[in-house]
Amino acid sequence: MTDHNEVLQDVLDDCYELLRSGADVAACLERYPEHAAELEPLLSTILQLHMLRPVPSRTPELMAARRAEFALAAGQLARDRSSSGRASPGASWLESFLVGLGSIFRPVAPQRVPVGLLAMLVIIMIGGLVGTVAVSASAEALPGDLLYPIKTATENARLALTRDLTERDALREQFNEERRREAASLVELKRSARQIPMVGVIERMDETEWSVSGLQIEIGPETQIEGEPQRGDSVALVLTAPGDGALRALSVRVISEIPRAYEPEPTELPATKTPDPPTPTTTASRTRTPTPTATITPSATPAESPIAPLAPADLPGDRPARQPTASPSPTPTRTATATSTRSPTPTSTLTPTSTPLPVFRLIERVNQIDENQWTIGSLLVETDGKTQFVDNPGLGFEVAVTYLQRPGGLPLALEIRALAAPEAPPVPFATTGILEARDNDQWTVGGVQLYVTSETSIDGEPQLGEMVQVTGTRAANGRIEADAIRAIREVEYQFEGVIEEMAPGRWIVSGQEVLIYGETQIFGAEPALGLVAQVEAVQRNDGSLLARRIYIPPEQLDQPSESSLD
Amino acid sequence: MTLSNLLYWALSFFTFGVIEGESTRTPGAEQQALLDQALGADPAALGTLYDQYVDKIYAYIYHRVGSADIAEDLTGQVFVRMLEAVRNGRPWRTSFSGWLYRIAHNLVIDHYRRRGRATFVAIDEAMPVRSPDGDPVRSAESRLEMDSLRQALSSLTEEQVQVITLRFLEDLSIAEVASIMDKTEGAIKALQYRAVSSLRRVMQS
Repeated sequence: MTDHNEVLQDVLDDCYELLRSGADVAACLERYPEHAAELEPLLSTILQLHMLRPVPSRTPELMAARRAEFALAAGQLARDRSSSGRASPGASWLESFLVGLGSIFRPVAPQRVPVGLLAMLVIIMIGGLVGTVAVSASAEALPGDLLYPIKTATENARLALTRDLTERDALREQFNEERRREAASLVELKRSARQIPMVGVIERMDETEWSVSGLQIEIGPETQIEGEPQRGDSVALVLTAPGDGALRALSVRVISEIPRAYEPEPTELPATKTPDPPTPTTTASRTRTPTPTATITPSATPAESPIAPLAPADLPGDRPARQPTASPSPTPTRTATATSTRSPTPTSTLTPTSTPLPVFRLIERVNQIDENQWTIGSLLVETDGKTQFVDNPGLGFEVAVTYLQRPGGLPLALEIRALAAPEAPPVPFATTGILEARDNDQWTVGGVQLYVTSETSIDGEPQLGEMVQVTGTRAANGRIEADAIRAIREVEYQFEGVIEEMAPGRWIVSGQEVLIYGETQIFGAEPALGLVAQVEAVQRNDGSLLARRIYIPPEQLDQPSESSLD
Repeated sequence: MTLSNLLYWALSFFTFGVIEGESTRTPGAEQQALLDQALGADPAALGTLYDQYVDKIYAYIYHRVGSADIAEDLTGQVFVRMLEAVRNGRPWRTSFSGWLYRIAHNLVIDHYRRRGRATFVAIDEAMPVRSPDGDPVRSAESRLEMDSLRQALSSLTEEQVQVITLRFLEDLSIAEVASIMDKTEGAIKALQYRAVSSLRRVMQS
């Protein structure tokens, strides 16, 4: 570097400090007149940079939420330090804190502050602050986060402090919902976590994958299953997220089953009723006191049927505890991979007055509601005052209905439990952004992941890093499918010509049409027909030219026109 | 006051009072005490440091990534890293503010590395520009000027962009920038001069 440059870099910095203190550029140049010619453009550039200073303001809600998260994490850190400090006195945070605190006073009043007093102050301060931040802030922490343990601890404390049973149940359900939301977030973010507790309702059971409250859970040979979970059952799960967007079940435990005890009114029962019998294949019998018999005959139909018959002996309230290896079982046949094989339609032989009616379960969408008659799938069921409606089922909802097959009448719904809300129709989606990633059918445009299907029209062979315009649809589950993707390539043009026509939004300059829009910058002389214009424009995909800047050189106004020369 | 105490004061001022305002908001000893408390995982001290720096770090990151959402996320990460460093016993050793800005800088670099490309500020995400007198033509001119500035900044080296951001957008002193970038003040002045000169040349071309 030359000496001249070394001098200039000092002078530039000195001038900038002058500017910071409120002086203007002229004052700087006056101070260094010998460098004025070189300094002026540099200082001008620096002042231009100040235009970039403003930043978007953060919303107070977001700021408060972030601050609360931080406070919670800091509180947790203090508690961690506190507990680890007790375990290893040599590395006690309190000790280092005292050293640090002592160092404040040391320069001012050495050896005047008793250590005991310091310790008391510290304990009071830390205790109060930790307690305050721990209960005052709520967090969006996920399993595996620094914040997470304090989040669950706070929830447990709230549960323990709530004496009202109804309130406690509501809180428990709220926290269960939070667990489901956390699990969904882990999937979405593809984050890993070792142990994720969750409670949900089984909506679908395939061989290796179940759907529980809207989440896809992988079931493997290592999954420990307690009880005999069936569709519609509430289960407590412990999951693990390996970080690939999947959730795997470590354990599944049935915590409540859909059917409940129901003693039919004798007057409604005929002497004997045999529902439409399918082709019987196997028979399993159960005996229930006093001496009823119910013969359930599963058919050979595979497990995909949504209807699951429930033996009366399985009804809760008057049954023995279910064992994982209970046998014989009239309904499910569970394999090592937790596959359930169910019979869709039973054959029952009922003894009136002493034999409970068979209870069935069906998972389908509600197609029609007509007062007390619901069409669920293709099944018409009746509701009465005892029918329990769980989670506000309604038209279009996917529900699990538990119903009683009444002889000579419509099936009676015992419980209708909403499993999933009606599916919303896809909504139009459009975005324009940089094509950031392209992985087979998954593209990322401006941070948005979307799917390309065989129906997607792709125009202009867009490359990574290029600007693209996307139109498509967003499904209720958030999946975006592109209908059309178009590369946007703007080519800049600069040319000079005579203004031949000036229509609103459209000029003709030397035979070339240019589009004028709100952002078009027109400067120089007042534009008029016959004047020369320098045009800076971009050519769009359709070939049209969009004017960004148009300059009308003012000096041409001083020149005599051709007509006057004539 | 002993010689060691004098040295302690001088060191405190030098290492912890680097960022402008730090020493004026809380005098050197007070700030030193705050930092010591934070090292001891005191939630209140950590919270105070958060309050002191969150806006500065957010602004710095926003100027580097050009997206409020990304800046918000990365700012959160800066302070999580701060807590992790305290927990793991690897916190700041000299200047706290310099250390914090370096974390922010590293996160910005990681962000660009993940994206595979770097831009100064994406034009579409830039702040709307309005001229003081509300003149739309002036606004459009300002917008164009800002666009060309951003474009020109994209062609500078990472160090040049960093020094311009810290010095002229964040308005930090030479000493502060030197501390953050771990260079001497002389080196920062030279880098600043080269950065502004390069920017000027790019804009002219």
